[in-house]
Amino acid sequence: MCIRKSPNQKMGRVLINIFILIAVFGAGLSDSLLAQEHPLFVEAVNSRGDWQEGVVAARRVVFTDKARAGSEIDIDVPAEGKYQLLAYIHHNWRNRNAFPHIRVEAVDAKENSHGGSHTLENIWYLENSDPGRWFFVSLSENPYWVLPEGRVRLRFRAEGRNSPWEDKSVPLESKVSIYGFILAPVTVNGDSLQSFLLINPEHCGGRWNVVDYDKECSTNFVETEKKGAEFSCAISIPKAAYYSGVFSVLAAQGGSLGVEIENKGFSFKRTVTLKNNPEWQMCQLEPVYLNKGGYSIKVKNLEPTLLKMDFLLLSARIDD
Amino acid sequence: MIWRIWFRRALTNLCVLIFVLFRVSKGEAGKENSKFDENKYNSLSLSVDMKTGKALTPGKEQSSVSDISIIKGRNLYSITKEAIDLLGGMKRVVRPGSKVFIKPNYITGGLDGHDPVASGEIAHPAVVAAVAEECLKAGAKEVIIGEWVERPVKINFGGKEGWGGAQVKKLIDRLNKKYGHKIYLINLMDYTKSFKFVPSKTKLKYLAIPDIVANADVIISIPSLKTHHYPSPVSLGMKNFMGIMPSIFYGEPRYKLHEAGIHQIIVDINKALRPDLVVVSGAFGMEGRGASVYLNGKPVDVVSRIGGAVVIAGTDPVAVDATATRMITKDWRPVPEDSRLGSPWYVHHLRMASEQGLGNINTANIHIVGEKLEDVQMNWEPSDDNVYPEIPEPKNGQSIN
Repeated sequence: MCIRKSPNQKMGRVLINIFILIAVFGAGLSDSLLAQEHPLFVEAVNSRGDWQEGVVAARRVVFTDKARAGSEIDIDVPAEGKYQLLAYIHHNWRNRNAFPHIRVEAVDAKENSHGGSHTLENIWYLENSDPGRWFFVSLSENPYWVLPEGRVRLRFRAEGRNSPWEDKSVPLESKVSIYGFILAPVTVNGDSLQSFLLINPEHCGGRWNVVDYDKECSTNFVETEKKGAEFSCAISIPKAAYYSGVFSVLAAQGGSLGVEIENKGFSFKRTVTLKNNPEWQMCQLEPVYLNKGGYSIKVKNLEPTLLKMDFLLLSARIDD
Repeated sequence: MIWRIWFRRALTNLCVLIFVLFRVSKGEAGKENSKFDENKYNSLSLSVDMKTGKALTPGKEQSSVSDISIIKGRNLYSITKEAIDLLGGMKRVVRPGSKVFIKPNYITGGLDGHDPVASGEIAHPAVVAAVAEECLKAGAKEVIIGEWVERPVKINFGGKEGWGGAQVKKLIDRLNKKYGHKIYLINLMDYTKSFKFVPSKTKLKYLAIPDIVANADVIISIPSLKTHHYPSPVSLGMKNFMGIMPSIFYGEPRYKLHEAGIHQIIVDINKALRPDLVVVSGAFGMEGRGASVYLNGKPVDVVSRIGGAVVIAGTDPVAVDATATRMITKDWRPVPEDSRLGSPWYVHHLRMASEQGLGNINTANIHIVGEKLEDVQMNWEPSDDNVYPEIPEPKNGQSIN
């Protein structure tokens, strides 16, 4: 289940369309067949262009230290709808005269262009020996992009800015790295929107150890090598829908995780096998239909191997 | 066979129709119960000349006057409690079993290693602890004290007591020992799992509010008494909520919110949150180019200016901020021709908030208990970047509460 490349979903979509047609004309259809499985997370190393591939803070990334160097990546949009584009970005800029600025342009299947950007704060507050920090940021212009089904070509580049308040360009202080992109569906419900759920396991309860800041990984996370050790987190599902999940794991010796989502009268259990990999990997949880309400997510280490987990992200499938 | 297929289609369509009707009716019902109660703070309206702030004709009288308490003294803990008691006590705000969210202004605390409390950058820990204790006494189930902070060292509720930290953890630990562990000091960035998107009148259309704040039963703002650099002459209870806004979406320091029009953003956040109580910490404050020493803000020891610290409290966030603004802008010029509007008229987000029905800036609609405002008024130095006055756009026929 761990993502390496974006799967070609064309055939899946055709089949789903056939099933929907059948449903419209009266045939019964199981809910589970409507559950589209699409990758929430797209690895930046699948991009092409001026950004270079490498490993930064134990993640396979693309990076650049050249202003305006551009790359692009294709992302499949599973259904027409509203989306937020998130990215996991690393930098180690220290002086207060240059701020990393990421700019994106998404050209959708109908050739419409959607813009966005994000200026990150300079991390002058970290110790000099610290190698930087990862940041989750939203790149889409607020509040979301409206994208048609099909392929989106995402172009991205980095710049230096003299401050978050102005758009004056300055040279890049050092490199900026991108681990990946998340195209998170957004649904409108009356006056409000629903977007992704992001869980930081270090603030959940359980028996995994909390690592506040790890230099090698430039982030905080939880870890355990105890078989059976579990952490759990309460979540509130705002709307009944299929939810897809991704989680960021480091399993240098491999291993397996038990993931359970439950509330009164409902239980969803899956085992995720993790290949040994010295780098962080992003694993995907198959879509699960959750009703509105409170749930508990439990994650258990099923083997006596060291596992580290950075974050979990859940996102509702886009409305049909 | 054909009739069976058609029967099935008809049945499906009927089900869809019932489902749609059900959804629509539920949606309408939800609107009626919306938290966005536009009339919560509506009160006496006056038609005003928008250029001069001159009241022309009294408008339709709607509801109540906003009560504001001002207490001066040396013991911050007791004057905070007294200020709340004068409003009818915390039980007026906190119901038994409530989840309370307290937003102190801790956003810029001690970035350069100085004491953020004595510099007036952040709310005094005694005021924060006193409010938290009053919440527990009123029966709060839990009290979350939080701030969205991207910099791990910027907010140190406990990790760095003394200079460089918020210095509040010891007080909270003491309360937790006394009342059971019910108070939590958190960085919203760590604990937020999802966002409630609320409407905004700006180009952003929606604003993301962390779930912990959006789901609280009671929301309390505790700002420090401060002037501020451009674009807002003051930073008080309403602006304090900028510190809950997620940097994931808006960057740090929330520059995307500034780009979208900070004044309306402040109003939109407060409209969505509808803070139940604002308690202004006025032991130390900051004048000049606030809101931090780093930006050349100048610390003010309020005790040395007026012989005691002050706490200002109220349930109308606009009226509290308007009163706090009047307190520190005694000689600021210009002032509107209508003296009942005063300097708050020239603070964009206060004026907009009152125009949009969020609360009162007009002294005709503000009833002060405790100290007389004239007895505690001071003349603090405004920021040097010509942020005051913020001249309003002339519009005819608008009314000001």
